[in-house]
Amino acid sequence: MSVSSQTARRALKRPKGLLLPLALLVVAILAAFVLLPGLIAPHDPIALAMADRLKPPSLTHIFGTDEGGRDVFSRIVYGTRYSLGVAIVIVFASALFGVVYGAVSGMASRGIDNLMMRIVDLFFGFPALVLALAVAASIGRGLDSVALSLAIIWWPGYARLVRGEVLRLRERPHVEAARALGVSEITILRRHIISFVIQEVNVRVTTDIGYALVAVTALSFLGLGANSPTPEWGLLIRDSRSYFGSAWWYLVFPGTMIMLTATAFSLIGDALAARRAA
Amino acid sequence: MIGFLFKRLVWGLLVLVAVAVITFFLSRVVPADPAAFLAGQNASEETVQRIRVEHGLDRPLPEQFASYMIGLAKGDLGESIRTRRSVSTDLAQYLPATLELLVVSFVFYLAISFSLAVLAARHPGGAVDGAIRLITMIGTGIPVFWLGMTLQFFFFYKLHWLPLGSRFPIRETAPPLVTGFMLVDSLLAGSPSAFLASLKHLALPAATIVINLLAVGTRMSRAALIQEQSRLYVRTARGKGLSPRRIMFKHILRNALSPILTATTMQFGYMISWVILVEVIFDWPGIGLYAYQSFQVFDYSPVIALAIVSTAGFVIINLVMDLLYPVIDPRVQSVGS
Amino acid sequence: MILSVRDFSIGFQREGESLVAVDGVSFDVEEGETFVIIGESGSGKSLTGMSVAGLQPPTAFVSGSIRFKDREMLRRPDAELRKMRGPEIGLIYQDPLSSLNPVWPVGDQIAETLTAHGLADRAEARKRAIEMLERVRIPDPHRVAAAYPHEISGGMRQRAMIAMALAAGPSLLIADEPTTALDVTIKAQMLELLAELKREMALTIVLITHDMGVVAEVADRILVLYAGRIAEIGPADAIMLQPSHPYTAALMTSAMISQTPAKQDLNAIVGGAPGLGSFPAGCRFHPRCPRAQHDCLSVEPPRRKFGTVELACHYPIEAAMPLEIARG
Repeated sequence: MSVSSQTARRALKRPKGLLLPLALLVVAILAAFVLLPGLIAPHDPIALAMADRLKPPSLTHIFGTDEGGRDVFSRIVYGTRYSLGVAIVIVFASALFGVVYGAVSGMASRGIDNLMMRIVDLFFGFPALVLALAVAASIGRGLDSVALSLAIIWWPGYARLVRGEVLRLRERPHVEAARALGVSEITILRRHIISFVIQEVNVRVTTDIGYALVAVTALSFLGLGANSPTPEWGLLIRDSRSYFGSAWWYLVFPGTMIMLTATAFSLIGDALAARRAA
Repeated sequence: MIGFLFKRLVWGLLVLVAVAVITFFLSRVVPADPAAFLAGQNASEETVQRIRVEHGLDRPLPEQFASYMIGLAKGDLGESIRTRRSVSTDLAQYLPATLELLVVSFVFYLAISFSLAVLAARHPGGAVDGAIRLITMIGTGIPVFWLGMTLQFFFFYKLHWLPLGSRFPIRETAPPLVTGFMLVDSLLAGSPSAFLASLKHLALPAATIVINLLAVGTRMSRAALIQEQSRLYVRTARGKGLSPRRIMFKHILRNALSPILTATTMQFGYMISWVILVEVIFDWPGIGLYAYQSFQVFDYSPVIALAIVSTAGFVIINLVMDLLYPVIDPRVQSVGS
Repeated sequence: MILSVRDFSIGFQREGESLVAVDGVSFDVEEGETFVIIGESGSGKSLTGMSVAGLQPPTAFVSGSIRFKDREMLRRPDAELRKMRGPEIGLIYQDPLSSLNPVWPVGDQIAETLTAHGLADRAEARKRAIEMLERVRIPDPHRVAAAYPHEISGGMRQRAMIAMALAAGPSLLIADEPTTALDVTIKAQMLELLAELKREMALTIVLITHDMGVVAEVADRILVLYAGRIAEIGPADAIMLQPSHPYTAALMTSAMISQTPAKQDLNAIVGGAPGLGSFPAGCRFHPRCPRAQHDCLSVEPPRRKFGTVELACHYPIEAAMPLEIARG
């Protein structure tokens, strides 16, 4: 191995040490955005102020203003609740359903398990966005419709994951021992198996939040999700379409926010996974 | 082998049936007035009534379901209020544009992805490898629609190198329609300027898709190659005195194809979702944009149809991939999924 | 003398530490003989064998000299070594299933040895591949040539690997544990085949193994390797009849004690071989040696000649005084 590739490898390893704390910092900031937007955002996200429309970033408007003169930064801050909030709800809901489904399937008899998994396989074939479009057409637009479609897309992943783990664990020695002692299947499931599986699920949930966020914003961008004047991040980008050629800040900042958030959750998920493997 | 194919075929049909059921549910059962749903928001009372009769929407549900399924089997995907044509006709018209975009993107993606993966595998832990890991990490977080707009910002608004959207310059006449693939048709018409123009319009939408595919796919190819590289037959190949290039292309790549193929199938699924976003952003006249524009004016039959058609496409792709597996890896007898 | 190894050492860097896996090994291999390197896992035998063909791990540091047909092999650019692998040096390995490319037919893999070196075009190479398969006594060469590795039996796979290694007519065959993964019955066949091929094709064989039975069957000369150092080296008959090094003696004993050939391995000796990085000081065998004395713990035994055999031991069995000090 040449010396240069050795040093390159070491150099690549060191930034990783910085990345995780940065990711956690981002998440902390986002939490602040969600919980205390009023304290952090300097301006009203909804009220129009036409005199200030499409102003570039400045000291008063660090991310510039949009076509209604509203402060982009404030809109982003208030929007966190919608974009990230919905993403979290989706992931938790689908995780919940998926875990229960997968656990039942894993503990059930072969035949039932097979059937249940076939149904899961079915769901894997559907292109997400198109399904969301159809659902939105059917039950109407809005963040709830988006949440529903995405939850429907997401839960099979958890079902499969949990069922796989349950199958793997249910024949383990300590489980056999408990069974021999007459412990009921449900209690076995709860105490011995789920505790292991939950860790695995946690890793997935963390990473999925990032992906769900991107999906939610994509659907809002198409007009399926939030409605004006809700400052949802995808909606912001959609609104910027007519102006971003000259008002670059209108495009850059909301998009970077999405990217940062998704990457941060991804990194934390990876770190959790690495810690589990260790 | 036949048995395996048959099983997969049946499974594919089941998936399609499931989608049909779901779309039936969404379009006939859920809406308060299915006729109004299909007729669109601005329809007159007569239109709504006409639709109600034509589609048999006042019949009992089981009967509706039967005729819906029969209609699907015959290729009847409903009627678009916006274009006043059958959806099938519309889809046939707009499909080539989408296909051209997807095919070109995918080919470029494969070429770049393989080159990067080969480079990374040659020097694990080196510069290319690290770059790939970095790109993958960031890339999975980039929303595809934002990426498209960012590319537009740089290449159109700032640099003026590439057009903002659509398939062909507005002021010029497009080459005569033969295949529906603009690139092919320009060549057939013997017009290099048309070819160049089509290429310029294709560049940004394709680049958006390619970059996103690279973000999700390269890590997989790289991992597959690196894993193959450490296998024993590679040591044997070295022992035979084969050159590193020969070993990489004839032995390692060939063996890595199987796991890469699996990942590719997944990527098709992503691509189908991205197509709508990319077509909307770049005003690319494909089936995604068509369905979306219909959606915007509450013309919902095309949307439903798109769900069915894209699922069908995905099922077909899966089948083709399944067919390829035994060819690529002779160890695979006919074990399913 | 087709192969001449002088003071050969291999080391690795692990977390800043230098670990020497093979330490100052020297030996010669005469043309046409079967030279067996025997040792436990971790003794450095595979490393030594592979290094002859320049196939040591790329992260390894080497020193000393390996001369093949009077050409220095170490520190030679890989591009030149590559030209020798196949036409001049052939290699076979332990696990034929993993060592063959799973997605290519066997015949093509044999033919590749020829086409890659420009020794034949594709059609000619395919023909020669079939001939080679016949030569390794495969009854239905056409079927096997068209088959994939997983479609033929383990014994046939090993034969195919031999065919692949010998297709380009090398003069030296390095066999790294060729019989370890094989059935008892097939083991014997394989060794017989190697012996026959050696005669027919005028080969020199360097065979690496931990199996004493193999030594008994085919060895002309033996090198006993322990923890990266030579314990004993000399004619097979002499060593097997009268092992002088305590380690060799223990090997013989355990081999003879075990009833089934499968157990003829060295783990029957008390204790285990030391791993890389934890080699004892002095004579490396001293913790397991029944004859160890005080100086064995701190002084590395020099290599000395005892008749036809050379060994590195302070207190060899049958403690005759050394007749002469051999060159290290």
